[in-house]
Parts: sequence; C-alpha cells; structure tokens
Amino acid sequence: MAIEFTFTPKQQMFQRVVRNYLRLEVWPNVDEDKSGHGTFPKKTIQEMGKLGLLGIPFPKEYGGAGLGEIGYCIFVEEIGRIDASIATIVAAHQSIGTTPVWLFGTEDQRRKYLPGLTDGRHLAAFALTEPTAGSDAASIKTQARREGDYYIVNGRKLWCTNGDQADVIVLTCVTDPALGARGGVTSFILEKGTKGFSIGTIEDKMGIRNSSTAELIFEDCAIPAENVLGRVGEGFIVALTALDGGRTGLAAGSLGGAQTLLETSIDYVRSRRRHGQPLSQEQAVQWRLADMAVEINLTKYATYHTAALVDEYYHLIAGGKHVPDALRDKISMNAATIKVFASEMTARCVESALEIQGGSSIWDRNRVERAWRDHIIAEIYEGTSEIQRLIIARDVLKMGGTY
Amino acid sequence: MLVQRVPDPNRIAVDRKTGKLITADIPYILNPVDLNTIELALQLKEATAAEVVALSIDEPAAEFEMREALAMGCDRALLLADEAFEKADTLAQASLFRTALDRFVKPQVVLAASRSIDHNWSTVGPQLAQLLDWPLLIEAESLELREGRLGGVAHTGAYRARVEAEPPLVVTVARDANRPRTPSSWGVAKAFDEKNVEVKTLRDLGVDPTTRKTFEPKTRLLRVQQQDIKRERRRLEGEPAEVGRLLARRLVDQGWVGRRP
Repeated sequence: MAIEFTFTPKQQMFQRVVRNYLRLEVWPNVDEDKSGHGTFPKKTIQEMGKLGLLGIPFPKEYGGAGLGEIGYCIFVEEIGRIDASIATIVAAHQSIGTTPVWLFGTEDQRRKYLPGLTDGRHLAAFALTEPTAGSDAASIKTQARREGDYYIVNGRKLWCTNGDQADVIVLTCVTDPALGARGGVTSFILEKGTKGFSIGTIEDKMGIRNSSTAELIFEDCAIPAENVLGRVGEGFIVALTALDGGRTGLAAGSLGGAQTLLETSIDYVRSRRRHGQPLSQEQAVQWRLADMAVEINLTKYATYHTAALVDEYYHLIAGGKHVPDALRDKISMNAATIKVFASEMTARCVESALEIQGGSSIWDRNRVERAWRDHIIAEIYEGTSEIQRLIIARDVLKMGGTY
Repeated sequence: MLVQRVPDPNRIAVDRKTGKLITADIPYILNPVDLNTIELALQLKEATAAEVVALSIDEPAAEFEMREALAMGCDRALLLADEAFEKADTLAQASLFRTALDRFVKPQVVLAASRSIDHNWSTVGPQLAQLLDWPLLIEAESLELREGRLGGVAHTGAYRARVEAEPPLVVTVARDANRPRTPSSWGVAKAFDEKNVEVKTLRDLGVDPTTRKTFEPKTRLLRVQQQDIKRERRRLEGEPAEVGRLLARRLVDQGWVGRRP
C-alpha cells in the first residue's frame, strides 16, 4: 500500500475554482507598473476579498472559509504562478497579518477584527523589521511605554508589506529593554489612522513592484492597552509562530512561480526549431527540463506536508491547547526547510529558463525577465536563506540528525 | 435545471481507428453552457427567491462536478446514477428527467443548456418540453419574471426575439448568454460541508426494473471524426486600415470571430 498524498475533493474543487478564476479574470490584468513604486492592484484585491480569497484558512465562525493552511497554500501556489506581487500582498495579509489575531487574540479582539479581515473589507500587515534590525530581529528598538490605559510608541519600522494599504497592522515593539527578546517584546494590534502613526517612504523595488513596501513612523503614537496581542512580553512568540505559517505559504508561492517557468520553457522548446528540429529534441535541453520537474515535484510534497503540520499546530494554539516544545521545533524546522529550498529551487528554475529561452527570455515583459526580478525577494523576506539554515542547523545539532 | 459533465475539451482526442472519443483519464468539467445556465438560474433566484436544483444523469463519480454547481450557489443537487441508465440516449434521458422532476422537485421552470460541447446534441430540453407538454423557449440570453409570466430574450442566429410564457415552461440557454460567476471560497466550503448531492437510482425513481428496455437507445452514435483544421496563409496588401478591414471581413465571413450581420 502506497502512502498517498492527495487533496480531498473539497481541496481539489477549491484548486480548480481558483485556477479558473486566476487564469480567466486576473491573468489578463497583471501587467507590471514600472514607474515609481508601482501601482497597488486595489481592484483585484477587493475582488478577491469578495470571493473569500482573503480569509481562506480561518474558521467559519470568524468569517473565514475554514479551508485551513492547505487551502491557503493552494491559493498562494496558484497566484504564485501568475503574479508574485499579488502573491506577496495576499500572503502578508493572511499569514502574518491576520493569523496572529486569530491565534493570540482575545475573543473580543477576534470578534472585532477578524470578520473585516476575512471578508476583504480590511487589509492586514505585519511590522517587525527596523533600520537596525533585520535578521537580528531581537535588536528592535521601537519602544512601547505604558502610560495609564495606553502604550506610547516611538520608533520606525521598515519594509512593511501592505504597510500603507493596511487597516490593521500587527506591530512588534520593545516593552522592556532590560529583558530584550525574552520577555521584553510585545505585539500590538495597530489600527490605521491612530494618532502619531504615519507612513514614510514607499519603496521603489526591482521586483514584486506592484506590492507596496512601506516605512512606518511612530511619534508618540498612543495604542490602547486592550490592543496588546497575546501576553505582554511574549511578542516574539507571536511573531515566530506567525512566521512558521508565513514561510510555508511563501514556499507555495515559489512553487507556483517555478511551475510557470517550467511551462513557459516547455512551450518555447516545442515551438522553437533549430537545425531542422524542435529544441525539445536536444538532450542538453531535456536535462534542464527534467531537473526543473524533479525539484518542483519534490517541493510540492514537502510544502503540503508542512502545510498540514502547520494546520494542526495552529488549531492547537487557537484552541488554547498545550503545544509541546518539540512540536513547535518540528514545525519551525519544517517551515524553514521548505522556505529555503523552494525559494532557492525557483532561483535555479529561473536560471534554467534563462538558459533554455536564451535572448528572448530577457525581453521586456517576458515572464522570465520578470520572474528573475520577482523571485529574489523570496530568498530574503520572512527570514533570509541564512536565517532558515540557522534554524535548521540548531535543530539538527540538538537532535543529532534529522527525524 | 439540467446539467451534465463533459470531458475537458482541451484534453480530448478521437481514436481515429474506432471513431470513439478517448475519455480514459481525461478530467471532466461542467459543460460550459451549463455554467451560463446556472448563472441564469441563480439570477432568477436572486430576483424571485426561487429554489435552484441541479439535476444530472451520470455515473456516481459525477458527484464532484455537481458540487461545483452547489459551490456556485445552487440549493440542491440530484444525481440519477444507475447502471440501467448507461445506454440511455437523449430521449430516454428526457423521460428519466421527467420522472425525477415530478418525484423530487416539482419545478415551475426547467432550464437546460442549449447544447453540450461534447456531442453538440441540443435535444434534451426540447424533448423534455414535449414529454411534459410545456411551452419551450429556446436559446435564451436573459430571463425575467413579470406579473407571473416569464419573459426572455432569445438569440437565434441573426436576430433577437423577446418572448414570454406562463410557467411552467422549459427554457434552453444560449451559449455565452452571460458571464458565469466564480464560486467563492465560502461557496466551495459550503458545497462540501453543508450541502449534499442526492444520488437516486432506478428504484428511487419508482420505475419498474423490468421496463429497463425503455432505456434502450433509439439513436445510436456510430462514429466521431475529428475535424482537421488546416492553416491557411494569405497575404493582404494595402493601407493598414484597409488591410485591417479586409482581415476582419474575412475572419467574420469564415466564421472564426463574431457573427455575420
């Protein structure tokens, strides 16, 4: 009896519906804006909200579709096939923007924020990185000082995806500089329009140009104490838990991108003839295609395996159940593994597609040219490849191997 | 509303030796014109609060495609699945539909696609209307209920006709009549978590099993032949605007795009 990994009929139907929608309705309109900092695809995001595509994994009682992390990854994989900018926007909204409110919010916070976020009326973001704290996230400086019923926030956040578009931002601040990462960092739910909060620079980027990457500025910004997300001092647990699911989704997005690179390469070698025969007849080309297919197929299994693990893990946390440290480690290890592998695998597919399609692949508006610029961020955001390797190394050193 | 699944046209091929469609391992989809039919039915539902029921005759595996109709917003799905139906031709199917509609649905309006894309047969709707002795509106592009009468615009070749009739009636829906809606993620979840495809057999229909012969086909599919499309190259010369007009003219005349006025 083989160990079979298949989607349930419900997941298959969701994949079919999403694929049809994206190919027919979204794909014709995904042109990149190459001027300034790009154009946020507001209309498409609103339409996706109405179709329930911004609340896929969340329980129905909070307005979600209840399709779990696997449903979420199916969507990100499909959107990753056609547009990395939109993939970035919807991933930041659902995984690291909305998930923490579901996992760590009080019942009041969930009831207040989740319905708007899951039905697409509101957009979410997640703010951690700072000018002097990237991979060393523990050295964040943005401070939240308690004053009566409020926390007064001062500092700056950088490279916040959806930052200027979001209605709700999960914000990580230092509440006790003496304690640092262990006990001194707290998460907050920040609402758009809160006094003292403003948007700084919106970045002009090489890739994912239509997604918005903003600087957030806090000058004596007063956040009500009831907006503390999770326990005071446990902000890093909130952030790292959200990032486990976030990284899994990003792997799914990379997987989608890699499949498009393979498909466009196949189309090209079938139609391009050289020396009287199609390029597809050349072994050198076939090996490249085979290598792409091998990595894509294996990544698919690993990604959805991790998505299934994250799904169980998140439901334990949301249900207030005890989560053993060993499970936490296992999830982080798996998420780091597929994040680093899928993003670097897509980089190899970009290189193969460039080799196969030659000069025509670097034309303006060619899929490969855009993928080359779009894929780079996948090896950087939500933890660089190096950070993922540190997580994996820490785990194998602790365990004495893999398990 | 009558629906059926068809083999995905992008994946289908004809076995040149046997003259049969190769359907093994080909994914099925809902007949594209059924999507227009469902959309029209759902618009009618939104205007009148009617209940929309999808009905099909197929193998039990067609349950999956029926769920797509549920995901779009249909209230119920009925699947008539029985070995006895395997050979049924369109006339036998129309007769089964009549029995099932009378027994399980009792509808005021029956909608059917004007054609299915697999064999391009467009007979089930008209045959059912004949069996029920109900009025028939063909090739409807839109429908609206006004003072108890159902009016519609029928698109037949070169002209559009406004027609109306008093329910009960049968309506066949034109291809590309509308833009079928995309099911939402909530709709997909609901189709599997909260709704059911009701599977009915010969016994459920109350048909005497000894009358199986009724389902013997009266029409028989002999052979399917793939149409070979030959590419044609022709050079048009002149001013760009003139060449454009000529090209458009030719494409329309040969039936590739648009409709001849």
